[in-house]
Amino acid sequence: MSGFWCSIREGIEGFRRAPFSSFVSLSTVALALTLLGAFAAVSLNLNRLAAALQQRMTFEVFVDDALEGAAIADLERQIRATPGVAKVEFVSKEAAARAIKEEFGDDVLEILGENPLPASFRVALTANSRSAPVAESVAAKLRALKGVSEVVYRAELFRLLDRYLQLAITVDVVVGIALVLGSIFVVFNTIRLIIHAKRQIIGTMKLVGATPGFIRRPFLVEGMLQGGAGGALAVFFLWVLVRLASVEAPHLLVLPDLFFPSILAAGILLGWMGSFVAVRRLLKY
Amino acid sequence: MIHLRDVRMLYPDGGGVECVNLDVHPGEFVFLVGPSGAGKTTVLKLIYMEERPQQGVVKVHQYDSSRIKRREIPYLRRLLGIVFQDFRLLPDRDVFENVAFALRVTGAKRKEIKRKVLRVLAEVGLSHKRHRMPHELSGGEQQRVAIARALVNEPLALLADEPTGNLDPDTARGVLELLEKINLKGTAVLMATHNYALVERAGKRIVRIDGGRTL
Repeated sequence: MSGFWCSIREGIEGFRRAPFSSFVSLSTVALALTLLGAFAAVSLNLNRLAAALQQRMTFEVFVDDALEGAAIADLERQIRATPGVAKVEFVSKEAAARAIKEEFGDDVLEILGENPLPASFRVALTANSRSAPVAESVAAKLRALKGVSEVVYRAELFRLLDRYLQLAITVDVVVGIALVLGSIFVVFNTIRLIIHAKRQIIGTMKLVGATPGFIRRPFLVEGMLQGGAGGALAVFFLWVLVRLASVEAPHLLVLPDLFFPSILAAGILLGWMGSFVAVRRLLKY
Repeated sequence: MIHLRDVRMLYPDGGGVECVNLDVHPGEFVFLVGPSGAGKTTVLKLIYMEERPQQGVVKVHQYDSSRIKRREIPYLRRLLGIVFQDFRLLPDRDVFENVAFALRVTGAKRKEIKRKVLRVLAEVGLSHKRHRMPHELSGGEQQRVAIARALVNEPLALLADEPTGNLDPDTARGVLELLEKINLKGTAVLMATHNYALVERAGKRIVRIDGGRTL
């Protein structure tokens, strides 16, 4: 058997020979990646939910009652041409009355004898215009258009979302970095302690003339196996969590296709890197 | 084959060796004798290049301490078999695997490993215990496994650091007889010990070391 395959087999054997330390290492990786994965899932979906919320924040641009036909079409063209405007939808006086009836059950025509509701345009903003200051400037431009009687939008909501979204993104990034660094630290130290306990074996390997590569390989294979198994366990835990969440609130969590494979790959990478760093210290001749 | 010339290697705590001169020729049996702390282990470490001399030179076969590269040290060690007082066996592998391990690191083929390990275990009288774990063996048997591991690569020289230090007198004599038998087959042996009684009976060349100097 060549040295290469021998050291691969040694790595697999190491997993079997020391089940307790393998279990400790595997559990640490699994725990760290479950936490990281859950955090990543929430982060990804928070951003998505915030974007969806912003998308729903539209302007109501009310039209002068005097405006009719071609003038309304002309106004629509001007609104569409306003920078920051993504989508424009016309709501006629009749459609506004129907909406009131659907919402409250009362027919304004029957109650008042006429339709006092103005026609309007429902205007959605482009993605990069959904902050409070830009929204305000778009609103001002729309108000200045001839034929516009009023522009209504929830300015306070824009400001709140601006403030809290920024805070949420900052907290998200800080917690994310802390979690990633914490996970690397914990996993690396666990592997380092496990490998440190094997320093006598490494010493014996060196005495009988093993090359650094030969000594390192089994530990890397073992680390990758432990990391991969930990990653697989984390994938299982996260899958259960996602299933539970989707029972409670369907479509709340949407994860990219590569989410679970990334968790598994992160486990293998963590195990490999942790073992590499830990063994390197003991390999000096 | 092994030459140390005016070697100095002092540790920060003051231990170590200075002015050490030693030659071990092919097929020779040499005792390195001195009290505890005299520098015997340091001399052996200098030979297998666990330590490098601060002054002087150590030559082992084609390797020279002043020129050897770190990546060459494993290949130097394959020329030497090393045996310690505390055996240093791998506790999670049986006797066969402990001995085979020294061959595996060289990339030897499975068939060759089996043949050589069985032969060397027969030589040290442990064929029948090849599937035992180290903790199931007596001290003398564990030292025989360590000697088998040191021999299996057919080294030019065997370095033994107090190999009888942990053994009772009868077992110690048995281990020494085994080393003499190995030496008769052509392997040079350098044995560090403080057991003067054992050394005097053996009638081999003796190099004395005290206070870090060879006398």
